[in-house]
This record gives sequence, C-alpha cells and structure tokens, in this order.
Amino acid sequence: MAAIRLTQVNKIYRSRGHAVHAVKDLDLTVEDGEFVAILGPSGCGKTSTLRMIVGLEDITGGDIFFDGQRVNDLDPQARNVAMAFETYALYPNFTIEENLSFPLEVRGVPAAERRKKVHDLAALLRIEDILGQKPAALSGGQQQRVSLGRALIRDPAVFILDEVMSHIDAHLKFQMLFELKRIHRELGKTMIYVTHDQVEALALADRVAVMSNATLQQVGTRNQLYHEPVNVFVADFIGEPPTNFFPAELDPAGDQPVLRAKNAALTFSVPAEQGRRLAASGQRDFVVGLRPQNLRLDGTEVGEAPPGGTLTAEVAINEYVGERTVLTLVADGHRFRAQAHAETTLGRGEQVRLRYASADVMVFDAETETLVA
Amino acid sequence: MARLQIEGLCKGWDFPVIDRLDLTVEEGEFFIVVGPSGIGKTTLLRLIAGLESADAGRITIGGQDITTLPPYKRPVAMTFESYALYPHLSVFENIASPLRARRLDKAAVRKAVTDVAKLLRIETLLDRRPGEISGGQKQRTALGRTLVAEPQVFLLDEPISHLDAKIRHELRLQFHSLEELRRVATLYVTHDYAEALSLGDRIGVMGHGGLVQIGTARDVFMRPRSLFVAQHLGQPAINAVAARLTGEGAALQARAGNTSFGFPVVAAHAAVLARGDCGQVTVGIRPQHVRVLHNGEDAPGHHVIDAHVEIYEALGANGVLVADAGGVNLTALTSLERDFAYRQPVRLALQTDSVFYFHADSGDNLLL
Repeated sequence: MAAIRLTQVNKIYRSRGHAVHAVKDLDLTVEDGEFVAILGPSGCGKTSTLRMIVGLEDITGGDIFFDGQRVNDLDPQARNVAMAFETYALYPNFTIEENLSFPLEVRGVPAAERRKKVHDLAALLRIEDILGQKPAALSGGQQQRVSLGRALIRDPAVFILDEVMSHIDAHLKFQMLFELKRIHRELGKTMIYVTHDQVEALALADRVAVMSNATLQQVGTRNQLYHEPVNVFVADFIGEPPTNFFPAELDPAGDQPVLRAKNAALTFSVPAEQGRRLAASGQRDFVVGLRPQNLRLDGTEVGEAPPGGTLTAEVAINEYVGERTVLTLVADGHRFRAQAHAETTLGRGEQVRLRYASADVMVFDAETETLVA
Repeated sequence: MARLQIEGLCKGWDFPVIDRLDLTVEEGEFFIVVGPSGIGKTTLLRLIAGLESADAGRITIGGQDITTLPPYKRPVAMTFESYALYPHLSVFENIASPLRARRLDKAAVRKAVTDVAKLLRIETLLDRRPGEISGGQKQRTALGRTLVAEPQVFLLDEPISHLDAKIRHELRLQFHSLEELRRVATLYVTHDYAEALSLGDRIGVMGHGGLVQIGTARDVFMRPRSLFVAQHLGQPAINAVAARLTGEGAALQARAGNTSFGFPVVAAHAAVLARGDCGQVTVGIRPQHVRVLHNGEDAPGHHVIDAHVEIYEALGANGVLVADAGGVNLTALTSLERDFAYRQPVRLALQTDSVFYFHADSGDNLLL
C-alpha cells in the first residue's frame, strides 16, 4: 500500500537538437487505496507521467514520493509498482495457471503458497475455469483479465494500468469497467489508470486528473469536472458529445443581464445573481459553454421547466446512434449540437426550438478561458 | 463510375472467414461494416486492396474486374489500424507519399498536404517523425495519407476508434460533410456501433462468414434480424432473457423459467408469435426501454415490476443500473442526476411494445 506524491515534476525530451517539454510542473497526490485516472488527449504527457512514476523514464526536474520516501533514483523493481499494459505478453506454451505462477516461482515462493495465491487471484478475477487453458484459446476479455492477473500476482504497492481497454470491443468494455471497479473495491490498492477515453476515466476513478499540453488542468470527481470545469479545455474534453461554445458579449442593461452570442441573435440568460456579478466585473467578453445534453427540444422536457431560455436553430445533421440522436444545428453561423430522443426524425433544414436551464449555462473568461460563472 | 461490387467472395476453406459474400457499394456511398473483433472485417478490406487473394468470387470497381490485379494497380486507398507509417519520414512526407508517386509539382503537394493536415488538426506536427508523435496523432497521419490519394474506393480500417471523444465527433462531422467522400465509394470498418450508426449510409453487421444484416441505421437497430445483431449494437448491451411463452391469444405471457419474472406480450406481438410454434424464446429488452420509476410515478402502457438494485454506475452520458427483477438481472439506463444504493428497492417500467422475441436456438427475430 502506498500514497504517491508528485511535486513540480518535469520531463523534457531532447531529440535531433530540439527539446520537447512533455510534462510541466506537475503536482499530484494519490491517496493510499485511491483510484485515480490520468486523462488527456494524445500527446498531453500522461504516458510520460506514468513512466516516471514507474521508473521507466528519468525525471528531468521535481520529485516523486511513495509514502513520503523519495523514489527518483530507485529502479523500477525497487519501487514495488506493477504495470499492466494493453497487451501483456503471456507465455503461449504455458497454461494460464503457469503464466500466473511464474513470477512467484522466479522469486522462490514455495509451491503450496504459489498455488494458493494463484487460486485466490483467479477467484477475484473470475478466471478459475480457464486456469488450465493456453492463452491462444482465450477471448479478448479473458486475456485482458489474465494480463491484470500477471501484474497483480506480485502483490505490488501501486498498480498502474496504461490504456488497458482501448482495443477491447465496445460491448465487452462495459463489462470490463464493472469488473475493474469491483476488483479495486475488493483489493483496496492504490491504482492509477491512464487513458484518453473519458468514459473509462469517469466511470472507474475516484478522482480524475485532466492533462493537456504537458500541464495538469484540473483534478476532481466526476461531478466536479462535469459541473464545474475550471476552464474551456476541461469543459470541452469532458462530456460526449463535446460541449458547445459561443463567444459572447455581456449586455448589462436592465436588472437581468444576458450574454449575447457574437454576430448572432442568440442570447443566454444566467441566474440573476451570477449575472449581476458578471456585470459588476466590468468585463464584457466571455465564452458561453452549454452541454448538448442540456439543450432539449422544446416540449420534450419532463415536468416543470426550470428558469432558462430558448434558442431557435436549423438542423444541419441528424446523427442517429441507437439509444439517442445527436442533432448538429446552425443558427446565425454558429454551429452546435443538441442531444435528443432516438425517435427524433428531424432532418436537414428543419427549424427547431431548444430550451435550456440558466443553471446549466457555463461562462468562461474570453481571454484566460477560466470559468467565471 | 466507381461502384464497388463484390460477388460470391470466399476466403478460407474449412472454416471460411468469408463465405460467399455479396456486396455492392455505390459511388458516393459510405458503407460501414461493424462487428466484433476477429470476425474478418479487416480481411474483407485486405481482399479488396489485394493484400490477400480471394479463394473464390469476383471484385469489380467501376466495372473493371480487379480480383487478380496486384495491389498497386487497384484504384483503392486504405488506412491500417496499425498505421503503417514510414518511420524515417516526417509526417509531411508520410502524407505526401501517395502524391510523390504521381509526380505532382511541389506547390500542389504542399497545398494538398497542408489542407488535409489542417482538417485533421496535425498541421503543427508536419516536421516530426512518427516516433515523436502520439498514437492518436499517428492515426490521423495515416488517415491524412489516405485522404490525399484520390482513389476510386476508400478502405478505412478503424480510422477514428482510438481517438478521444472530441476529435472523434469532429471527424464524424467531417465524414458527414467531406465532398471528396461523395465522389467515391467508401468501405469503413469499425467495432464501434455508435460510429457505425452515426456515419453509415448503410450498415452491414458482420458475423461468422459474412454480413448477417445490411440496412440503414434505424433498420439494423430497431429491426435486428437476429439476437447476434441486437447484441452487437447498443451499449449497455441488450438484456437477453430466456423465457417461455405461455397462455393463449390476448393473454399470452412471457415467463422466465425458475424465476418470478414475466410480463404480458402486447397484442401486436402476440398475433405474430401465435403464427409460429415457439414456446421457448429469448426475450430482448434494450436498456433504454427499461425505465426506473420515481417514487409514486405511474407508467401507463408499461409493465411495472418490482426489483432491487444490484449495481449502479455513472458511465458517460447516462447512469447504468443493474437490478434483480424476480431472479432476472435487468440493465436499465437512467439519467446522471439520480443515485441508487445497493439492494435499494426500485420499480422498473418495461416498454413491452419495444421488446424483441428471438428463436431460442437459431436466434432469429420472430417478429420479422
């Protein structure tokens, strides 16, 4: 068991005469037994971070502590970290039991203890029935579980998973997410999960660290990231379909200030108190963020509509995805998306009216892109 | 005219990966093949590209028989799931490589490459080499190289599946509006059903040996030909419950053996099911057709059953609830705003008019 602390960690790669700053001044704490995901687009520095924690990569600047002990100069094996990769090389001519048992055998663990450990772990991973089979006979999901088992058998203090699910079929992935969560709950180990897939990160982790451009943007629970994203990047990256953004200007006239989208007749009302605060700030330029889930076709909401406003737009694309429909809409040159019921058959060129709640309107500073309301 | 036509295509003998497959993709059509991994989707593309040779059958493009042509003589461009980039060339040179072979002048090459790089948001990476960019960026480079090639048929193998949600949605829009794609036939392979439904003019669901159903998105999702098709489209997967049909005519009931789970079959379904002799069936209920009722809420037209919560997780845009309904585990979709505790009693409303009935052995949809 271990708590992990990263302070001011930097990574700079040098190649062919130019330097790439892959991780910048990263501060991050993972509590003992916590499940943290590092999430970000490709090239954001998440894998470099992970490799520094494991010890596969030198730390250019800053420190990493395991339970208060500085590990910068420790070898990977001295850190007691196990890492599961997307494809874990299993020995093809060994059975699953032998594959799991092998790392213990190398360490000189007695046979009886090996057997017990393997069987306990197999019960946890629910692979008891395939222990006698060879890797080639397994399905993708089973291989994935055996790979996890290979990493877990050493009883590491920290368990790290690198994009372990990105090549699993969608319908199996769902089940694997449930499984992995259960495994974490039962083991209580510190786990770090690296992924570019927000669905995986948000579903699995207690907290998610969002990275972009080598920099940590925000660490938070799913609700914090979803409802209070610190900046435009996080609001944009978290949520599917992605958040709609409208560059807007504050119209402070009257007792109910509204935000008016640039060069368009679209207006957004915010809760009165927030509006007054924005007006008092003296600033005029903002970016409005509104999630597609929070834009509902007029007349489809259940119960009484909360205070808010409406937008009128024209349908450009209707994307039917089975459980729901994603509408791409155009209004005065602004393009945005709304989520609708699967039965929505609105096609190109049709006019629609959409309703939103003021409480769902996110307002960002136009220059710094940070959340202001 | 660049219509892609496949007739009686076979690959493999004893356990054929592809068994007498027929398919026509029209010029300008975006055809998507969706199916589980290992089923032969990539093999189909490789056969068309000429990287594998067909054991039987005919492939024509624009009327020209290409079945035995070498790959470089076929008017196709393909992206590979493994990217297959030249490691010693820059991103720019990788994208430009199909144009070099055509000896275009420098300015034209530069324009074509920068245009496609902008589209794919990799314009700042053009000087880097594949070893210096991330996986998602490699994937876009590979896609860029295919898009500049101006072939008659595009073969795209999982071109956006490893990208993050934002870029994936952006590229989906690009695929919807790219003019280049409207002049050629595109065959696009994915395991992601949402991508398939969203993008495909038509969709082919691939099972063992070939395409088990071809149709529009609404066809394959709302009228699946078999349990296999229904299980591979939708997330979470459709609830499949083994059940017996008992009773007569309007009083027809579906009951799961050894449990107290059951519901009345709606009249329209009962009329169709009565025609066949099918006592044992697999009932398919999509998670979005199981609604978790609020306290005191009524659900007219639904069958309401008591259950208790087994698992609840917030996943993506929805909450997913697994509940024990009289001995049968049912998965339901809920809104993210709600929360449920383990073993909490809930009432589930089944939208029984949207239930599917599949043959217990063959898996055929009995309502079609």
